Amino acid sequence: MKMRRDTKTGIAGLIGCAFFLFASQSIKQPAKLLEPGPRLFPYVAITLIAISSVALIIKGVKERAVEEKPYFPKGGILKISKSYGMLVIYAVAMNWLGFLITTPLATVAFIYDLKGSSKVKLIPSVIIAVLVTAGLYGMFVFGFQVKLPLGILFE
Amino acid sequence: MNEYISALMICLQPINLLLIVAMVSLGIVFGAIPGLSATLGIALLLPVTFGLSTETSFVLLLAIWIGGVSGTFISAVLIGIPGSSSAIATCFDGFPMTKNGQAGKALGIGMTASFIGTVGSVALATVLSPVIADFALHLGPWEYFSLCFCAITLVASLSKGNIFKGITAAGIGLLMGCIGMDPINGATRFTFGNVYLTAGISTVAQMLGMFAMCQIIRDSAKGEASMPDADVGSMKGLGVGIKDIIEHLKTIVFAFASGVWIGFLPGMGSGISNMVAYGYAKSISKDPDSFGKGNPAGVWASEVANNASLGGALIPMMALGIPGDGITAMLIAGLTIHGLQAGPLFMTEQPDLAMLIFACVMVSAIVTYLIQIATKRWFPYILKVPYHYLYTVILVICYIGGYGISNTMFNIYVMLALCFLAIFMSVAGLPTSPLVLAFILSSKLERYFRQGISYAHGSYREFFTRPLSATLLLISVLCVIWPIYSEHKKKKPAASVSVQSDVNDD
Repeated sequence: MKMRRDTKTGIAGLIGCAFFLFASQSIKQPAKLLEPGPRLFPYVAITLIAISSVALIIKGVKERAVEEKPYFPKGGILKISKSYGMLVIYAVAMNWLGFLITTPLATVAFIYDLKGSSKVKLIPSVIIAVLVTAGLYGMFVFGFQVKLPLGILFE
Repeated sequence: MNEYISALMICLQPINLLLIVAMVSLGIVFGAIPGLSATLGIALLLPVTFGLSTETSFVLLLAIWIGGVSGTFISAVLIGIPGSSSAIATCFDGFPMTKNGQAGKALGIGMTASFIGTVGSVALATVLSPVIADFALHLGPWEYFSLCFCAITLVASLSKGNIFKGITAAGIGLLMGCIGMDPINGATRFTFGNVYLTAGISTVAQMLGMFAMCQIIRDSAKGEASMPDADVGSMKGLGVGIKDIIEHLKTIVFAFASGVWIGFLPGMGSGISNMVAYGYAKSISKDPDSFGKGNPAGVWASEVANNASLGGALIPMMALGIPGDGITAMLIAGLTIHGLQAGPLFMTEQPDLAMLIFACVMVSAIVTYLIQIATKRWFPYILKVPYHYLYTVILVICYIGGYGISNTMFNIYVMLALCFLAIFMSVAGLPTSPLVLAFILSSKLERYFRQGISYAHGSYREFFTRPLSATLLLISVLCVIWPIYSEHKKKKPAASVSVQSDVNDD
């Protein structure tokens, strides 16, 4: 029988708790404190997540016979993975090549990725991408004095 | 009073007034388009405020907030899709009015009701907040801890679906708040040797990653980034007169009172108040069967209540430093960016800035109403903005905002990681509101708790023996126990439902 989302969430929660519990051991606890010290709140948070995770696992197991509708429509997981991958590629490329080179390319890619069933033409998309890049660059760099990445290769 | 007049003068300076007009207009667009929201607007504006003065920053943030909250009725009325959860009840009668050829009147009611709700509740908040702040100055860390704890448990217990999901989300928020230096001893936690993490997770990166980025790619993957056409008919005139207000006065008064009260309670913002007010309007109506078929009273009730919640939420934010919902949490983050701490000390030590916030909300509400009157006939065009262009621009702004936090790529990576976490939470049905609230309040919660024990020489007793602290803790315990008890009592078999996330909830 297929595992319900609540059960999977609970298991993921417990794995996360185990990781952070292990990481909490490295927090230095000052001696002779009148109060519980810096380890208390991580422990509280871990306990809350752990208890709720167990409750979610129990709930998922109890309701395992009830059918669950998929969260994403068909092909949705692939679509969101692709979109997320593009976000990561844009970040990495921006780090190396800077904002001005990567943004027009990323903008065109995002327009095509997010278009859904709408029709999009390449030339107008490229023009929009260049205008968006120039407009945002001008607004943030000159208007709001916010620095933008130059890229490791051009620094 | 003098501080309020000075604050009003600052808001009415030409440059500030111009900014208010621009941000209110942008807010109306964000509120009107389903999927976008005032929350998203504020998240995108937070990085812009880095280089601006505190006053200008707050003019921007508050104006987009007011415009955004008010604008939610537009899509609810025109296409039957609420701009956010605060306008769900507006759809019930607003959209049937449009189908009956009364779109102009329904929009007029939405505009006027929003105006009445916002202006009235903000006036009340302006009067009440200093009084509550004065009282709050006499409280100790024990009461503050209990208050923060109560706010988090209230929000977690009201989470959609299951209280354990709310608690899990709050736990993740607390854990995220623990990253970096602890607020008392300065011990580093969960930094894994990364110097950037010593300062903790940036609130701006969190908002951009978890709200903006996640929402865009998730909606796109779910195929929710498209909208039906609106059939509007006649849009001439305001569509509402004094006679209409007098006719629905009883509904308006109740909707206002319930909106303010519900907005005041943490976690129970405009998303709940519009439904409560709608239910009341229907119950007192001589013709309850007409509700759902285009009864104007339904639109009055919903819109007055959801906007009145806005002033209600301002009271705990200003007087106690406790955010009632996601938006006020972001406004508190905006104050923090400028080195300010919302709460009773802020009200007494910086009354000019506190009054500026109230005055700016008031001016923004008036400007919103005037802009809506002037542009009403173009409302249907707002809904025709192509999503793929708009979302693309928003994504690029997120990257600029993420980079601008510390002028490094680090926060962009944090943003991407939090976007991933938000997608996971969304699929798992974990609500984001308890996470945001717990994250924002985590350092206060920890500081007050540990200070309380330290001041009492290692004793925990004070939390339970001080009357206000004990009462708040009792409420917190009831908040957790009651949903579990009532769920157990019902013993209903779980329905087969798709998990809904509340990322868009205002």
